[in-house]
Amino acid sequence: MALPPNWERYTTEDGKEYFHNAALNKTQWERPSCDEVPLASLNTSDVFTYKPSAADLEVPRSTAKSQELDDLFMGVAASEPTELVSLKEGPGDELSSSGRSTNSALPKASLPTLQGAGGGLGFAAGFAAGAAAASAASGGDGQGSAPTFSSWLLLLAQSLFDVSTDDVVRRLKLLVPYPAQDRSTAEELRTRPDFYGPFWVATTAVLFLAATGNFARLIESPHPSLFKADYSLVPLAASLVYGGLIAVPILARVSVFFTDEEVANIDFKKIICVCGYGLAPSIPVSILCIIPVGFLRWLFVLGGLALSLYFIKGNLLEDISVKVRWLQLTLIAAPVILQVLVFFIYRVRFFAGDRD
Amino acid sequence: MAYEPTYQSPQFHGGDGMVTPSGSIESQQGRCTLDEPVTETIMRDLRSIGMKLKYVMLPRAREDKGQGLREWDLWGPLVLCLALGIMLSMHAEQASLAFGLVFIIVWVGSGIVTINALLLKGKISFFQSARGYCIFPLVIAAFCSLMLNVIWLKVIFVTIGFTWATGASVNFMSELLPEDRKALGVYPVWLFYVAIAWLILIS
Repeated sequence: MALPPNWERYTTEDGKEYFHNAALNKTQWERPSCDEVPLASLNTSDVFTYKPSAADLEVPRSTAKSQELDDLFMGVAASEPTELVSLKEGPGDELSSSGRSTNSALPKASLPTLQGAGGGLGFAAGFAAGAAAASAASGGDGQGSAPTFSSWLLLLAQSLFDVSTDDVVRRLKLLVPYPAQDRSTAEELRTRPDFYGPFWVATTAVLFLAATGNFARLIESPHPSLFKADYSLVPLAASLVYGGLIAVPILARVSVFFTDEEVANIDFKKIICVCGYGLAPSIPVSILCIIPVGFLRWLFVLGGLALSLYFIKGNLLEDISVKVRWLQLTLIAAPVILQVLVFFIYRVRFFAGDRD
Repeated sequence: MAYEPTYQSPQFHGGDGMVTPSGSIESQQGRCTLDEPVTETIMRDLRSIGMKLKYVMLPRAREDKGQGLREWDLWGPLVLCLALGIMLSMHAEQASLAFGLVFIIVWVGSGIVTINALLLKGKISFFQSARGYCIFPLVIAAFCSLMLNVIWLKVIFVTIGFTWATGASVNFMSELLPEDRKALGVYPVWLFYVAIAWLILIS
């Protein structure tokens, strides 16, 4: 039998039980009945049983703390009743409950401010919205003691992953030039870049590059049992792909620093997004490169590189309009060099001795 | 104040390092576990591990749709991961790299898959041990492929292990994600098992 909130059970030296409420500073011998729920204290079950409607978003901060939190954090949760049900389950998952309270966090209205903020690495709008929401959370109670920085980070990261399966599939289709380019998806990619695509394309690429390199060696070795796997291809692929993907925006940012160009003019999220998706052709290319014919491999690699560069040209380069010439060149060259490096190093380093 | 309360917490175990939600231990409520003999603590943990393994291995025995895996502990996954790492690095030329790679892929991979689900607004708690236990079929496959050296049998065993493990995990994961993103959350799980299966195959 669980005690109502804020009640604790103690035992005297004689073994008698008594109950103490820390919030009301009340002690009694009788077990408190479960319907004595104090209004002033905030606890998880209060927050999660509240079912808001869209109209509640406009309600100004009322006195009850639980109401305040709900306005900000449940957002338009009226359409997600199942989420509320599942949240009651695990009182032991401290981390998850603070994570989940920010899950349906931002009311949809403020999402465009995060995504429309093309502003550089500052993510200024996101910070403002997230910090406002997160500081209200910590103003709440013990539950808000989860650091505001991490809740802000969670909100921000969720906005970057706010895509559906269809969105990702359509964006990947942008890489194939033959059927006419999907203009609306390209627009969407520009205004609402996501990080799901780049990250998972990059990770898949790392695994496939290392795997196919090893398979190629397996095929070429005189006998399967003589084959020794080269595990070092994995760290190599990882540093190449992840390193490149991180280096390009850093390079761009540093270059911008040396001019007096406005940082807000450059959309770093979009750079990362496009570079990430641009790595996608390396995956089918890597599968094809298992075929142990030297010049065919070059053919495939160059074909993949061409697709990749075409994608980047279409989605990234046309938007770069900065005044300083060398900065413009840098911003164009960096993603291009990344793709070239990935494909070339893959071709040259990952295959040991192929027959021509 | 004058009284010295003896603090009793019905929701948490005293001495075995495991935190379990109160719903699962109604039978032990109020009992202080510091006093019980060590063998009993160990047996309880072993039984719990066994129960979870059985849960993962036998999808048909699953009446409660993922409930059983909600209690988390990290011992089982750690043991499985160590076993896998040792088996895969035994005959490898770059043994330490292989072992390290297995460890990193299993732990970091599980973490990333979980974070991915969280960021996609799935209802997942960070310390799900589900994925840790779900590599058990692949561990068995690795063991079998270690014993045999016939490449076709290896491929078959690994494929069976992979299908089994993926099936268990994918079901679990897709229940936790919103409708329009199920594939986005499930794909990393699939990739994770592909990576492990690949590691087993090339060893």
